[in-house]
Amino acid sequence: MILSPLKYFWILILKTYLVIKSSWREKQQGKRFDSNAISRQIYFTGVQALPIIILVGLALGTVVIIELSTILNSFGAGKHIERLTVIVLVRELIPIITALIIIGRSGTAMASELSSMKLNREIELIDSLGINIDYFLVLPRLIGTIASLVCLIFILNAVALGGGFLFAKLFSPISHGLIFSNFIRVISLGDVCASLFKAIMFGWTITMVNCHQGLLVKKSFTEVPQTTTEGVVNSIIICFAFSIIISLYILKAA
Amino acid sequence: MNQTEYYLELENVSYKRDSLVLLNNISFKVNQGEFLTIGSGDISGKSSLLKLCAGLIQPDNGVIKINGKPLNGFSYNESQKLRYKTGFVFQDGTLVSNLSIKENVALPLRYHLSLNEAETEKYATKYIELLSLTSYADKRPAGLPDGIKLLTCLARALAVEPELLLLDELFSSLDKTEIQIVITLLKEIKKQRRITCIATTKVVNILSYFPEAQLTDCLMILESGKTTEYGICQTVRQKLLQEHK
Repeated sequence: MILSPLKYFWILILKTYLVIKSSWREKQQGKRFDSNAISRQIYFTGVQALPIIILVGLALGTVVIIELSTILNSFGAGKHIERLTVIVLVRELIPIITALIIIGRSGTAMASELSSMKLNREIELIDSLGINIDYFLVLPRLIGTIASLVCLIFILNAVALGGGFLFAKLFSPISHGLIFSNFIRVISLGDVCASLFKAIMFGWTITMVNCHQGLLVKKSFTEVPQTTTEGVVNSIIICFAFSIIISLYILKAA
Repeated sequence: MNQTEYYLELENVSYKRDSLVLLNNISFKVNQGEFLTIGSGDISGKSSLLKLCAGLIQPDNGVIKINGKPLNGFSYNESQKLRYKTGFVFQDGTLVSNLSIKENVALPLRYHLSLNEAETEKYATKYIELLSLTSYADKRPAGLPDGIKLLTCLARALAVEPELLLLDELFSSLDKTEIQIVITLLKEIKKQRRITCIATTKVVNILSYFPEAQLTDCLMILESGKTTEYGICQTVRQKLLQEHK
């Protein structure tokens, strides 16, 4: 039972190695990289996800700040509100929630797009033209998704802390003593690094899992929803695993 | 004749898919600049034969040679170059659905050649105009007639100035005007460049309306994956016509 997820993870690492290797070879041979595809990926994954990211950021920031300030004040531990808020939001919740939103929006889109392309024989066509699938289809998605996730996580951090602070001040009298600059002051380099590293690993996971799943389909369009669902489930499991591992590592290092 | 004078050689090639034998001991040789038409019934591995020639799939038995060199001995770079220099028109007119007709034609040029946008567009536009696709140039493939999609595939195949052109039942889905445009263009290209071409069609087409006759040098007939006739186009066609009288 334990071997199956490990094997899947090993396949993802192997695929990534092949993507990098074949992309390097194609680049050396002067094959043109489709940089427009990166822009498109950033637009679909990053820009179009902004409204929901801002909404989630405001809600999450408000709830976490109000809840923590209420609970901690009742224990007489009000001075720890800022630090705890930063740990809960910046280091833990925001990266994984951003990843879950992107899995739902872009991961599913990637898996279903590639599987439809395969069933419509577009992948076979691209291959028949001597175009490397990894360099042409996977690499732009990988770069675009990682870049989008890094930006979205930092935007969500800013919105959750800033917006959450404002809303908490408006709606909860207990939060009146909070000072925004204290939130910024308690953010450590470790928090930023953890957030950044999680963004990169989640971006890698979402792209590689869903591209791999999308290209797995063989014969029937009924495989498209199946492969998309598998992509979502596998992405969520791997992202949570990464989140736990990175957090534990940061805790141990701190 | 020296072996290396042939552009493409197949020696005892067999291929099966899902335990169904599609091709059984197929052998033929095509000179550079020659036009070979392969005719057969409905299920006889015509498309698989073209994919084998393009190096997209591997035979179960036998050898395929390009310019005297076996395909299975090609390096990655050589096989990618072969694919680029092979214009393949798929039977169903497959195009990349999120690209416009013009972008589809320019796709291999953009990827393989270090041309600027203006030059790439010039190459692509030339074949779009020659195949009367100008009014569709900015449209996406979805919803376009099959004939237009096939002509786009042909424009894309010709834009790379291929050494080998593979046409999978191209003429079956075109109307008479489109066929005339294609025949005129291919005749012109055949005259200008020594382009090797393999086309497939159904036997029923060879017996009735067979526009490829104007281009075809050799004709091969496949039945149940085996070669039954192979020779000069007119001779083989006459024989077929007499047999089906």
